[in-house]
Amino acid sequence: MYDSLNTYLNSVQRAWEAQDGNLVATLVSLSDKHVLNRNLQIEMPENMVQRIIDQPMDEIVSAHLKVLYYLTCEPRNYMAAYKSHTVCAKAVVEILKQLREENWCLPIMYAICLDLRLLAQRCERVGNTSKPGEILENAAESLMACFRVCAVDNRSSDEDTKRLGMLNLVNQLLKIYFRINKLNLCKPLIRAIDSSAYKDQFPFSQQVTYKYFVGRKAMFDSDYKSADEFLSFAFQNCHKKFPKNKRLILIYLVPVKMLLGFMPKKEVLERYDVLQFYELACAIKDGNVRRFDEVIERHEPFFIEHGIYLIVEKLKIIGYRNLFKKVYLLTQTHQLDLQHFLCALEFVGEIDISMDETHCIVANLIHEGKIKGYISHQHNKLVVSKQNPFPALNTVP
Amino acid sequence: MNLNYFVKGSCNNFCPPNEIKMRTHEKLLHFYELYPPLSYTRQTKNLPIKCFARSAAGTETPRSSDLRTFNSLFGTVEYLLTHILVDDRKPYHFRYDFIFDRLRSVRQEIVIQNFDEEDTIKLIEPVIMFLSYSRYDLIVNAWSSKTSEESLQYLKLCQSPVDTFDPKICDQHLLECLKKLLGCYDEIEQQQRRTQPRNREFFECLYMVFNLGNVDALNRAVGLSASLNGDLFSLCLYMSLQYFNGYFHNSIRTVKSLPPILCAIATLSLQKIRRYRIKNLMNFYKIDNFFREILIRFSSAYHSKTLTVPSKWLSDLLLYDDMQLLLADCRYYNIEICSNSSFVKFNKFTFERTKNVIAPRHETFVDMKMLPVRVSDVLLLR
Repeated sequence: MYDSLNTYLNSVQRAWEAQDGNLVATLVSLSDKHVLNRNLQIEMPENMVQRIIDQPMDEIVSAHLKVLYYLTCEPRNYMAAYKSHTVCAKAVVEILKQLREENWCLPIMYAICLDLRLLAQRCERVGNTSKPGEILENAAESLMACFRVCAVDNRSSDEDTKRLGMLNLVNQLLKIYFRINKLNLCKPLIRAIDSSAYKDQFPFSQQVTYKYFVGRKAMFDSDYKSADEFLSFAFQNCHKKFPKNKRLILIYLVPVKMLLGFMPKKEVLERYDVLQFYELACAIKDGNVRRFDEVIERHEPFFIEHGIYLIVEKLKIIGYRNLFKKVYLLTQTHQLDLQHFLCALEFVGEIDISMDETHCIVANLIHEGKIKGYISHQHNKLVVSKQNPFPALNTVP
Repeated sequence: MNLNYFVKGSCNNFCPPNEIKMRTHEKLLHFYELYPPLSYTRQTKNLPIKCFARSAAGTETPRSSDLRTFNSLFGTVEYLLTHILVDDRKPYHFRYDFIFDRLRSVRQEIVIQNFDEEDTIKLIEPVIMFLSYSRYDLIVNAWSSKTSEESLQYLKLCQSPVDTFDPKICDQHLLECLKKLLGCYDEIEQQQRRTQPRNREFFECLYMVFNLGNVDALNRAVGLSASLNGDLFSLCLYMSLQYFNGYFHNSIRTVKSLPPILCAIATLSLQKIRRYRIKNLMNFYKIDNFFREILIRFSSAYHSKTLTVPSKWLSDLLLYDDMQLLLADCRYYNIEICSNSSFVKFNKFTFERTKNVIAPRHETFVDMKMLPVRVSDVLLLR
């Protein structure tokens, strides 16, 4: 699109002077078409760039052209490209500091920070690091530098404050922290966003991403009610143009919903290609704990890959509840012989299960409030409440 | 300064000559470093062992002559765990303090000299074994059941006195070492240099059982389950998962179901068994947690003003081999005991949830398993 280096540089300079943040952002983004232009892939562009472009933008552009060079030279040098790109990120921090009480430059920051993370991920994948996660951690540091400048900008007016850029950065950081499994670092970021006065003014798409991560975090902290709320928001508001993202949200939302007692419909799961949960839901509905184990074993790689193996394992107790509820409905009595439960467990194929174990499972269910009643050890009976002995799971605290 | 440069040790003794000179002069040699005991008259150069010194600001980078070679470090570990460990001129906690400090200095040198993963593993595995063994062995063991008053008294004393042994510090170091070791395993796996290190399965199990029911440890284990599929590993994973999901009964039963399986393969791999046995000890770190968690659950489930539960059943379920001890523990959590101690009455409202978990103690069936074992061999993974 730009024939020569000169025309490209002039465009950047014009956009910069016009304070057109979005256009400048496009011109330094790695996902724009101009990256394919051979004339722009230069190893030492400084002199040329400094002649045309003002400070401090020149530094970004020089580093950007170097990145283009390293990404297209043979063999490709991702590490060198990443290093050049960190120079870009540092220059962005300078720009943010210099342009006081203005925020038109935020799109530039977004573009650079996004590319920084993607490049870091690429370097990790190519795998020339000494420690896994090292480069991503380094990228997180650069992002944090930007974040700090944005977070302290409290003098500008509401329209011009750089604080509006916080959520974009936080999302990038969350993506990194989830990838390198450092969830403890998420907490201060989440606090910063939740206490922000601009909570509802951030771009909507960013809010959806944010809710997705906060939901996952709540899920790992075993706070399923909040996880449900956040992930549901993300799922409902994620645009239908992005089925891949919707699928990702669903992978976490479904087990959370199931824990709260809502079983998913087959059509939805089919549409998003997560039928693994359907088999699981069927086993739980039937109270077939044996088949439940088999389903988990069959889809183990899937559950492990998404880090939901442990939460899925937790669903088994609901299977036990449903099985025992069936026994209750069949026997039509409030004093249930524990022997019947043992028979039911053996019926679904749980081999070598003992009476003691049955006692312990029932004790767990009572403890968690999933059955209302008490056990009489003397008579080997479970005495259940006359009203609502198996309360609906979403009402269990 | 080149950050990638690490000093390499050249000292072939257990202790660099400079330090021997200094500590002899300052009369800082330890009981186990003097021969004849408590006398500075004669010197045997192999007795003193380099002691741990904090790396503090202002301290110079150690010289090569002040650091030991790998062989000498390994020799130090061997010497400590074969000779000092069983030298019963002093009580075990005294020996423990000495060995703990000297092994700490070995660990420090691993970091200073930046040994490669293979060497680090060789040095750090025995350290972990030593810490795990001591962690169990140094629990105060003075239980004798006479009257209920006495048993209550005992429970108060059950917290081992910190001046002889601090379990918290031991745990902390054990975890630190384990994390370092697992880091080495990961590194080796990533570089795909070789097949799995020899003892990996065992130490992964140790880490999992040490952090029983912990989400991070479990996630690690679940991720590893594709590549590590030994019986021991599956068993520990099962146990930890059951613990995590609140099926304490299954988990506790697994603890006890380990031995018979081990006996069956005893003739095939006697050495391996010995190591398993140490691992079994590890299970007891959390066993009192079990008791508490189960008792809490039972308090809700068997909650009643009139109905009772036989204490015999409870003691079998919870692996108590001493009824008085069970009753003492029940009293501690304020569970009512009635009709001549043969029944207990659970009540969810009066259960003492705020009380600390009872400190772990020696379990007879673990001690029995330890009797025929030569500790030094086990600790050195022979």
